[in-house]
Amino acid sequence: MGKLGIYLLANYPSKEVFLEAVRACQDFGVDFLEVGFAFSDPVADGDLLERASFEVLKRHKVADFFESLGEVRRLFRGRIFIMTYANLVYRLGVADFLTRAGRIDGLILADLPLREITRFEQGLKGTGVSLIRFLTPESRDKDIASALKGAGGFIYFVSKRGTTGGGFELDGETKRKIAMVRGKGVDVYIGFGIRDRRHLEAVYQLADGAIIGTQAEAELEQSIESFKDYLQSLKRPPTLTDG
Amino acid sequence: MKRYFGSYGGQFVPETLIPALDELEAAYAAFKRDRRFQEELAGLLRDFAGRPTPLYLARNLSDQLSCRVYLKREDLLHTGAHKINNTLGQIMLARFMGKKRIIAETGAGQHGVATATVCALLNMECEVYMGKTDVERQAINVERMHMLGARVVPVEKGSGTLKSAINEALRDWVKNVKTTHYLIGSVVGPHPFPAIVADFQSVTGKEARAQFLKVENRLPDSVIACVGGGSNAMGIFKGFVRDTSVSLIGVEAGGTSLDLGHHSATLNCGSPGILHGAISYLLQDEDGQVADAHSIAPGLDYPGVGPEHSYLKDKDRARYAICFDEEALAAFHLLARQEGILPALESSHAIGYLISQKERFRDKAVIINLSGRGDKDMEIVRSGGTHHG
Repeated sequence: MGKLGIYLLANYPSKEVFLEAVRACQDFGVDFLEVGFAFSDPVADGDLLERASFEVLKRHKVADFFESLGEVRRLFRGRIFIMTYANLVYRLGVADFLTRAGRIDGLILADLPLREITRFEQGLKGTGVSLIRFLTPESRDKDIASALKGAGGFIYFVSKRGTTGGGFELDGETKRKIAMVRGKGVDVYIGFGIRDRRHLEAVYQLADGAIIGTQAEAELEQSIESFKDYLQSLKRPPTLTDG
Repeated sequence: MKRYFGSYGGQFVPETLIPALDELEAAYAAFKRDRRFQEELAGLLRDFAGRPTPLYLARNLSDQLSCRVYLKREDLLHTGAHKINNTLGQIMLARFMGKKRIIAETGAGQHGVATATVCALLNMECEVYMGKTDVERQAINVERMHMLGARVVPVEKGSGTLKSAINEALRDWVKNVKTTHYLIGSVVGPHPFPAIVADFQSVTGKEARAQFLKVENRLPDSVIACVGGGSNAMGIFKGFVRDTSVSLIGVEAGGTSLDLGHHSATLNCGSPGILHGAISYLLQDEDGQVADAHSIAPGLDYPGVGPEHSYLKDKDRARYAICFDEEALAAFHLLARQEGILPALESSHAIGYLISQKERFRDKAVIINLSGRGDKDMEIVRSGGTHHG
């Protein structure tokens, strides 16, 4: 069984429901959380997460996300990553951002490609916080080699060309690339478009873990109960009626 | 090609786009060396777009301001603005790369029209992302794009202006990166776009320099251009950047006031940040959330600016000034009455600045990049500036 990570946008749909979802993730045994900090221009996100980001920003400042993160740490024992966009970290400076964040395991910046990580990684030295590196179906052999060199935390393998959410598929070439990364001393987790138990099964054949974001948020938008049922459904073996 | 201009620029995009940006950079280097393509591009700029454009001494305006004002008449180009310089260049580059589908963003609609035009010319599929607010306030340009065979995709999300249109175009590009060229319209975005667009626009500056030397037998004292993303300014600055005696002045939109959200004066009021692939000056709040911009000129209504402008500002090679909505409107009317030219509201900012600073330019010789014509702005001007959202 591979690892499971859930992405939750901080304070969405409300601070209370967000924290209840965190608690549910703890109860369910989710391995790690990606706590999203909403950004005004989320170009890597699909419709649902973009809309959710705009909603959150109507009511909250970044200070509120940091405050919620403190509560997330009390509720959740697994690893915690912050996922956001480069400008929120750049604006505060890496050191200030980390001071305000408190203990986290890593930073995931959706618009930070490998070749721009240096200035951010310098600020992380000696902190134990990893800057997560991305690979994608477009990655070339040289990108894969450079991602593996000095990688910490995990490698975030983006399943497809496109934004978060939408369909899930892995072509043969992408599977080959994932295989190249596997077993090189750092976990490989796959994300983007993963929705159900069936997708998870497919991912666990290839990688060390999976990240679910959009579908989790879609369930949470319905209600906290439907989010809990959804987490439960990820455990259940697939039946003929699924999908 | 260097990825940064000093500390500005870079490639802050999802990892998926990096190979495409590398492909673009390599293709551009080969394209520049390919004589056949270069000749074809020069021919199209001449015969299709209408280059060279005149450098016109505006005598009445000059008399009124007690200086010599030359207008670089980019407004006379096909489609009515400087945008065609870049779209012709990039469409040839896209063909050189074997791309079949073109996407673009547009604010005022001028870049959208210029893109739709060159796609019609080269028979390429064309989709233009345009903020919903802009679709409403630039209806004529939307019609023009339709007639030219482009699909216009209104972007309802976010601010509904240029910023949202670029976000959506970037999302499209991430999905369709194998088949599609993103024909970006200004000197913004991830490397190598700012350098490529500046290169294609530099024809304006090269021409203007030679034309000015020929009539005045000297260099101008100043070169003035409006700055939104900054492509027309960069295009004309490129001709003079090595001539250190020539002052380069970019004019930003002061909107209705210099309170955040009421203007687009990024270089004057912003701070370095990361948006749309590059580090550059940015209008943002203390958290790093990007602010909404405002200008009476839709083409200036953008909270970012090209990274090379940030570099020129910090190096003190260019100076960036401000012209408010009302001053731009007054300049529009003045140029119409004095010279018989209806300028685009964007270009009116450069003229408005000159008028407001006329003492500073007394007895000097200046070139203003008249980057576009004002036909598209009739509704905004007729309503006294209230029709622009």
